[in-house]
Amino acid sequence: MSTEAQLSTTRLNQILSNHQQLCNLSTSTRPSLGKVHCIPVQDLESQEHILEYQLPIMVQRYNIGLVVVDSVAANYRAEHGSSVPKDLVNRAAQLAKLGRILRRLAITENLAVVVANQVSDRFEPIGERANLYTLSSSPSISSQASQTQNALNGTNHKDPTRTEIMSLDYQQRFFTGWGDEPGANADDLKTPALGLGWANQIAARIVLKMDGSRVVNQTPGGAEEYIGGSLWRDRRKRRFLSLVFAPWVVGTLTPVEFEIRKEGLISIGSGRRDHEEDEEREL
Amino acid sequence: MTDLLYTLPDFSTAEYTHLIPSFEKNGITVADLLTLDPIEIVKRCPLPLLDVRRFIKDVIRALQKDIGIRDTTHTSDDLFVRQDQQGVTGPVQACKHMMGRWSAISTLDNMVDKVLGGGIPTGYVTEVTGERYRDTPCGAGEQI
Repeated sequence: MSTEAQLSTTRLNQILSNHQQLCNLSTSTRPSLGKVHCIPVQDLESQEHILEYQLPIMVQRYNIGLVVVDSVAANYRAEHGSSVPKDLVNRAAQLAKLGRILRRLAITENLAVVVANQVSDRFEPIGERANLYTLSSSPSISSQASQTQNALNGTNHKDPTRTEIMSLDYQQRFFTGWGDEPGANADDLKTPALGLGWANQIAARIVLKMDGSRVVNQTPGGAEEYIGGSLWRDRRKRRFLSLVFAPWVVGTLTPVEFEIRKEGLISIGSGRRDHEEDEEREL
Repeated sequence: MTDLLYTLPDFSTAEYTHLIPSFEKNGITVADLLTLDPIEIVKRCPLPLLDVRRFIKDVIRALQKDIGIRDTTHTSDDLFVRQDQQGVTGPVQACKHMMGRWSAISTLDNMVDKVLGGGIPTGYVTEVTGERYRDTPCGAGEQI
């Protein structure tokens, strides 16, 4: 189900014809695009209708094993733009319903459901005072609630550290995928869209990041040499994948570096070496 | 009871047809049934207390059976209109049942599969999030 752009079938074909594992398969066992179905979704109303009524039937009819919703947030963000608490509560209720539909489908039909989500910038509090009124482009309800609670407690709350530790702004680093790693640049922090309400609906969260700042042209002296020009062009982009949480396996401590190549997503680093060793042994 | 049909689609309401309209009129949800005292519910909708108690008990049993933590020896089969669960009893069996059908879709990369514990598993909702960058050599952004 695509809400933003059409399914890129040329890309699927590219992976199909370039990936070694897939190329080695005989033509009869090789996967084809014949069983890939795409449902373009225009608005939230049709998105909900399709997910609830049409998708379950389609899954049974075509014996589908993987459902991808890309992206789940687009229509919610377009139609629930307001950040008034009342609207956010409504949105959270709708997201709970959506989560229930997807979970039920995943369990009853034993299929994999993957949802792509967008991110928004996270605004870190500036100074002590700002802790109480943290701004966010996609505020969640709990954040609002904790803010009002903090505001109510105002000056006379006894243990500010405790209040801070219990707050969403502090705890979101554990489940958003941003902010938990040491030495994170506060400017680069993102928050997955749809807030805590949605985070409670999903079983696992995989975060993909691109880091342009770690690989810099280092001079022998170790100083960063950078004079003018485009940041992105001069620095080699590195992509990282990490599993933030999942019920079946522990989250990743060190993100896996990967590249997007013709044959698909390919990890580089230690895993790559293992892979190559395996191949050598086979040869 | 507007949400009973969603929560337990197969729950047999045949015995309780006299209760449901009143629940519906007074906006009692399944969550209310589980969390409120039956006396509290009876205050909101004028119904016989014993019937309400019995109904709540059956709803709880049906819910427990639905998530596979109920010993079937104590559950009467007439709770469900349709019987398609093949003998899932108790939490241990439920876990075994889940493990038995554990399967995952490979991402076609060994390292990524390892990190994900085998790939994208069936039976779960997995979210992939991150910023989109459109300037890859393949021009495919983050579509993988």
